[in-house]
Formats: sequence, structure tokens, C-alpha cells
Amino acid sequence: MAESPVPKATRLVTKAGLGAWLAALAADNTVMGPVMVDGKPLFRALAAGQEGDVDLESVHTVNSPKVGVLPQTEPMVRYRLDKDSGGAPTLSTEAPDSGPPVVVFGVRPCDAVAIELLDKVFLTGDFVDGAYKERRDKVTVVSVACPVPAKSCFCDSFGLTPGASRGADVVLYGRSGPGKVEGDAYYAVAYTDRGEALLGSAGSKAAGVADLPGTEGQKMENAISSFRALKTPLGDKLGRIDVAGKLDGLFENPYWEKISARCVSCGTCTFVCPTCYCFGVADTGAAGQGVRFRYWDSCKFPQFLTMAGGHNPRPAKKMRSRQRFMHKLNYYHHRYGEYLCVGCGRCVESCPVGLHLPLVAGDVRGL
Amino acid sequence: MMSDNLLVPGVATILDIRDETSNGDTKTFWVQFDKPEDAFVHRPGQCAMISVFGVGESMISITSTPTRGWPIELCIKRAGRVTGALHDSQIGDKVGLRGPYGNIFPVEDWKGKNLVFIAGGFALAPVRCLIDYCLAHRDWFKHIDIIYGARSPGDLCFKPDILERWPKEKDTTVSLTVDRADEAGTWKGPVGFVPSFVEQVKPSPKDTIAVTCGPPIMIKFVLQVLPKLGFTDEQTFTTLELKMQCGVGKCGRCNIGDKYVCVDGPVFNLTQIKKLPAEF
Repeated sequence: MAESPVPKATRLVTKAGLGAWLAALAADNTVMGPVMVDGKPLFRALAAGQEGDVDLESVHTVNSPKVGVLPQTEPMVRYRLDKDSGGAPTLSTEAPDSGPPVVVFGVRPCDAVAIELLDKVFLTGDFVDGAYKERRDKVTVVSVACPVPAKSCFCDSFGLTPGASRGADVVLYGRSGPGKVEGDAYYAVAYTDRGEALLGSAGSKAAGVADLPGTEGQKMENAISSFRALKTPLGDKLGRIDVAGKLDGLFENPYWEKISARCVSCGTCTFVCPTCYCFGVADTGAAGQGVRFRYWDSCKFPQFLTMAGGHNPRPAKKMRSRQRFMHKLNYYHHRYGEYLCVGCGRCVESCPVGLHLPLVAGDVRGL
Repeated sequence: MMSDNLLVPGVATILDIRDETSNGDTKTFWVQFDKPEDAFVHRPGQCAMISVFGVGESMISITSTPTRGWPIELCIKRAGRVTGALHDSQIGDKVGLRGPYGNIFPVEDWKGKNLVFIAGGFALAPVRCLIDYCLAHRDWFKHIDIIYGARSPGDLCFKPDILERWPKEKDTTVSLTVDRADEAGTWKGPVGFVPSFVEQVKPSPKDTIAVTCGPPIMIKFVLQVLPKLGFTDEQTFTTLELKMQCGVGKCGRCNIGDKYVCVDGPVFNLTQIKKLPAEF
């Protein structure tokens, strides 16, 4: 890609020093990162002392780092109704504390782009989502370039690369370049003010985040270029996905019925997806006291659009599958000018029946 | 000030509850924010999210005209959990309220024209806001035709408006119909479904805007009748509704194609509706 953002700061972080660096960051931040849990890489908030366990070897976590900006459940308001004082009832509401700043660490470049795609939804338009913004303003995204893309990766189908920096405040590039998982250190490159502040913080310095040796500038440039030139296996096969225009005329195509027959409406695709953001709002607690929260929902669930009274505009699986793929490849493109997919490949790996986006995007070209 | 968090409602009080239908399934709630600074100014066509804490939220069209200010009125049919909890509420109870949401009827563009309002059942609610707004600006328009029907005389909503107030307005005609007359025989007016009644009333399409709201089946047939009378798609407006959670175009719930009913709607003209996929 012709992407050439100007670095604001460059540092060197040794692999052995990563744990100490994260422990230092954890003093002022909630640090979230990829860790192995029961043999599966998961993205989650690190517990104290877990900083050294961060796993940057797995290409990506089973769940996506969107939890860093859009928690699976998130309290919106706590309410308390006082009715028994004899007078008129009073209702008090209180916004939950949004917590300390968050370092979303060790995500893949595609996942960092995904956060920007969520930003477009929550931070643009006539309404800015205040709860999202409050959290997002405190998030620093540190991504790590992919040395060996997984066979399910297809970021290049959307014009991204394993070395892309979009959406990331800091990108870690393996010092030995792509092709090798093993290596002794990372080039830490800040592309935003927030990233620069993170790398330059006292905690980072104390933890051994060092200035880049003057002699290594060119070597770093070469490594970054190599990451950006890297192809993904599935993406290379698929080529560029650009089907928004084609999909304009395919709403009524029998393809949706055919392809969705095997869908089991489990919603896994939407939950692991870094760009799926649809949410519901619900109350928990009693009338007197409780919390209103939002939660990830899934357009694959039959209840998603079922209204009081029972009417459901999308009663059939073909409609719900069509909704998801149209949202990603057509509707979002109409609203925001790009696709709501970054080619991370999680749906390829997690869908129990193999009904995934690269399959559909490929099929659509032939319809 | 209300929170920056769009999903956090202001606290409001139910000041009055009025039965609209004889079977008690539809009521109008008069609500007012407890803090005056929370008050918003809506425009015809817009909705508000009302909530019962511990139960949930529902998006409801605002049925009172902004020219009357606060409290606002929300006409609500008992349909699910939230509307059920509202129906079980008492005057003085606290609710959550946020808004206003959605686009508006392009009233300014209709100056100098005749207006025909066609509504069925409690879907007169969103049109009532518009009718009263237009009547508050009576000089802007020529003739105003209000065609309204319900299943039975007892199901006709806003009776003080349709029977007394509106017929007295200058150059305004109110035509009422019911699907079935009541057994007591008190109904002396026309009997028949709204779409065929519109064909009988036969409003002229010349310099006229038609606005129709009602149950989906009524809208479907009214939208077949209006072209027969000569109304073009550009002259014909309606509102759509879909399940909503946020009301601000974020939650991904109420889309029809690439349009979100909560921010791009609820008001659409027929030209716009024909461009939408048939999924609502």
C-alpha cells in the first residue's frame, strides 16, 4: 500500500523487556492484551502480574480487541427510585465511573483499523455517543505487525497490510522483519501524539523502552516496508474486494437463501468480529434500583428485530444473513465510504458452518 | 443538563393519563421533565424514547404539537413489556425521557398547498402533532382534509379533536369512518375501511400533499388508492417504524437498507420508500 504516515517517535523495545514495560504502563492504565487462556488466545484486561504472559505469537485472538472500546456489557446509568418517603417519588440517576485510561496492547493492524471503523459510527454524524467517546478518548492502541499472517487472513483484500498503521497510536514491528515469529526486539513507532506520549512516558523509559540507535534507522525502514509488502494467503487468492456497487442490485438474489441454509443463527460471527458493533439496551435490577446497560447484540438472532406485538421484518435466516453481509459490504459503504470488514479472518476460523465473509464476497463477484 | 451519554434519559413525571379507546388499550401520557433545563423542542414527525426504569425503553412518536410546548403528549398502545408497564403506571410516577429523535415532515415546503391527512387507529398520534402544528400556522396552507378511521367507534382516538376542535377550524374538513359500527347503533357516520373511504372522499391531488399513517395493511392499500386519485409519489408522505434501541443511528437496529429509521426517518415520501428494500 502507498501508506506513508510520518512517525512521531521511534523506540526499541526488547522482547524480554515487554513484561516490564506493560507492568510499568499498568501503574496508570488498565492494560488489555492477548493472553493464552486454556490453550486459546484471548484479548482481555490483564490481571496484576499477568503482564509477562502477553502472547504476541498467535496471529490473532479468538475474540477481538473491540472490547477495549466497546465492552460486551457496559453500564450506562444507575437509577434509584425512592417512593416510600410519603411524598412524591424521586428518581436519581448516576453515570458510572468510566475508569482509568486503557492501553489496548498487542492488537493486529487489522484490529486497529477496525477500531477506527467503530469510531466512524460512534463519533460521527449528528450524534456523538458520549459514553463511547469518554472511553475512547482514554484509549491508546498499540498494534503489532504480523510477521506470518494466518491462512485465514485477508486484510489485503481491503487494501490493508500486515504492517498497516491506521488506527494505531503505536505500532510494534519485529526487528528481524516479517517471515519470522522469533526475534529479539521490536521497533516501537508512534504515529500519534497519544502514542508519542506513551513511548516517552517516565514509566516506559524506566522500563527500558530505549531510543533507537542512530545506526538502525534504515534497518527499521526496511523492516516496516517489508511488513507492508507482505501478502496474506487468503487475501492474495481473493484479490481486492470491492463489491458495494454490485450488491446494490442483489438484495432479492436467491443466493442469500442458498448460502444461509446452513446458518445455525449462533451469532458467533458477530461476537468475534472486530467491526460488528450492533448493541441493545436493557435494564437489570428491580424498579426501585438497578442499572441500564448496553450489550453486544447480533443481527443473526431471530429476536434481534422482533417487535412488541410479534412483527419481525427479518423472520428468515436468509434475511438475517443478508443483513449482516449487506451491512458490511454495502450499507456501511454507502454511509461511510468504506467497507465494514478488515479481513482479520476470525469469522473464517470461528463460524461452525463455514459461512464467512470472504466466501460471500468471493461468491458475490460471480453473481 | 442531560448527560453527554446519549442513552441516559432525563427524569420526567407523568402528569396525566387519558384513555383514548373504549377498551383501554390506548392511552395518552402527559409527561414533563423534572428539570426544566432538560426540556427539548421537537418538530412534527419526531419521536422520544420513554422508559420505565427496571423494564426498558420504547420509541414513541410525540403526538402534541411543539407550538403547545410542555408537557408533551405520547399516545401509547399496550403492546409489550415497556408499554405494558407504562399502562400500569399512575399519575405522578417517574419515567425516563430522551429525545427528540428522527427527521421531520417538511412542512415549510408545503406552504401554499392543500393538505390531506389519512390515518387509521392509534396511528393518528404522529399525524395529530403535524395537524395541530399546521393548524397553528393555518395561513400557510389552503384546504385541510382529515380522513380518519378505526375498527370501531370506541377505537377512534383523540375524540375531542376529531369531533369538536378540528371540524371548527377554518377551511378544514374532518371525515370519519369505522370498520364496523357499534352494536348499540350510536354510530351514524360512514362504515368502511380507510382506503376505500379515501376513494369516496376523493381528495383532489392538485397542489396537495397527502400524509398517511396507520397499520401496515392500511398504509399498503392507501398507497394504492392515492395514485388512482392522481397523487404522485413526491406528494405522498408516510412514517415508518422499526424496533429501536438507541434512537441516534448507532445501535444498528432499525436499518432498512442503508437508511436508519431513527435518524433518516421516520418520515419518508413514497419516492424514497420505493428505493428501500422491502424489509420492514
